[in-house]
Amino acid sequence: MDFHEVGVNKPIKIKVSIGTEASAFTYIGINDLSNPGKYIPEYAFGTKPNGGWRKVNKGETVSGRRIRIRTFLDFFDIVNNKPEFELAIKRAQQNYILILNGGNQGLKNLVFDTSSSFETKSAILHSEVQLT
Amino acid sequence: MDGTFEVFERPQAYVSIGLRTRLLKIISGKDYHDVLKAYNEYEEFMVSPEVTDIMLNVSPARSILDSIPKLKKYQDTKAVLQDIIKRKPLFAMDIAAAYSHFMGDESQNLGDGFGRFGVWLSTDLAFHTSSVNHNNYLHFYGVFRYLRDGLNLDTESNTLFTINNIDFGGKVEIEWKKFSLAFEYIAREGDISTSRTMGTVRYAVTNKIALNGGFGENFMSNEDTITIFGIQWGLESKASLKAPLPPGIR
Repeated sequence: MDFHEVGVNKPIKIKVSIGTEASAFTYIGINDLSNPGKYIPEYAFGTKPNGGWRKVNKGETVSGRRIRIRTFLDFFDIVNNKPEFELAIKRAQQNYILILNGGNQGLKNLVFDTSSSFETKSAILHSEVQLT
Repeated sequence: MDGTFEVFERPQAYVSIGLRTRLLKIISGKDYHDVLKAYNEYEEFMVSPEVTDIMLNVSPARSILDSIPKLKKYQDTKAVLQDIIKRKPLFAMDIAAAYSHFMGDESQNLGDGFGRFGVWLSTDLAFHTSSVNHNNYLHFYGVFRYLRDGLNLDTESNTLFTINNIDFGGKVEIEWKKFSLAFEYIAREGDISTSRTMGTVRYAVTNKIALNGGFGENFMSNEDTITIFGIQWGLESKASLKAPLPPGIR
């Protein structure tokens, strides 16, 4: 998990964009204070190569909250074999932009994990950040 | 690589290079609107509350790759979209060129030299007969070829000589599910005037294996040519709809 110091600064914004031959969808959620372990959806959108900035928690303060960002990649029949699929995943990883802006540290590129399945020709790029 | 080229007694060595590309592709207005409609439905579903909840709240993240494909609506919308993507374009024009260089044969005192060169231009006008079956097509093909053949042996002087020919013609093909039936006529003009009239039958056992049968008269043949049976493998024919299309749809 990533950590980012935001203090009482607001709004905190996230930018997500990706260049890939897959269909890509990004989901951003904020942790539910009344239901530990669950995330409240904030955004769900088709990910473009030039995504814009989106306010977290409707622009209100977010110190102490946790943000989850997941991008789902659906390759359909674009890739024919496993090496091609793995190459496409690498390209997506290299072209994935995930930036958090605001707070005391300014711009921060967020780290992410990748899970993929050649059987379903899909992948998920997962990221979480604890805001302090 | 080697071959006799129907000229030499023994296989000869040669080096060859070729390229092929699609110059033009036109998709029908109906196909374009169908793919946009199908993609919009797919996108609407992917950002729906049901999918969003799975995407954000299933852990670990890897489990999502098992959960999403199990959703019936996902399977249905994706199947419709993939079916439309596989439709062949209304019109396509391809160009190809190839050259093989003859490496020579010392045993026959033949030095290396020009082998064979060809340029092809082919067109395909395809009508999708969806009222019959969603995989049915009626094709009208056109072909134009220039062939320069330097592998003709003068047996008296034991030297090679070159002939130039132009081929042009057409083909009609009906595709019905896994069967196809075609008839082609190609005329050859130039240093040799001849023609080719062929009918072919093909059955696609799988995407990679097909059974073929042919009948007719080939170039320079004096009698009808009949091929009883043939097998092709390692082939995949894939049609695709291209730009302007939503991301991820190729």
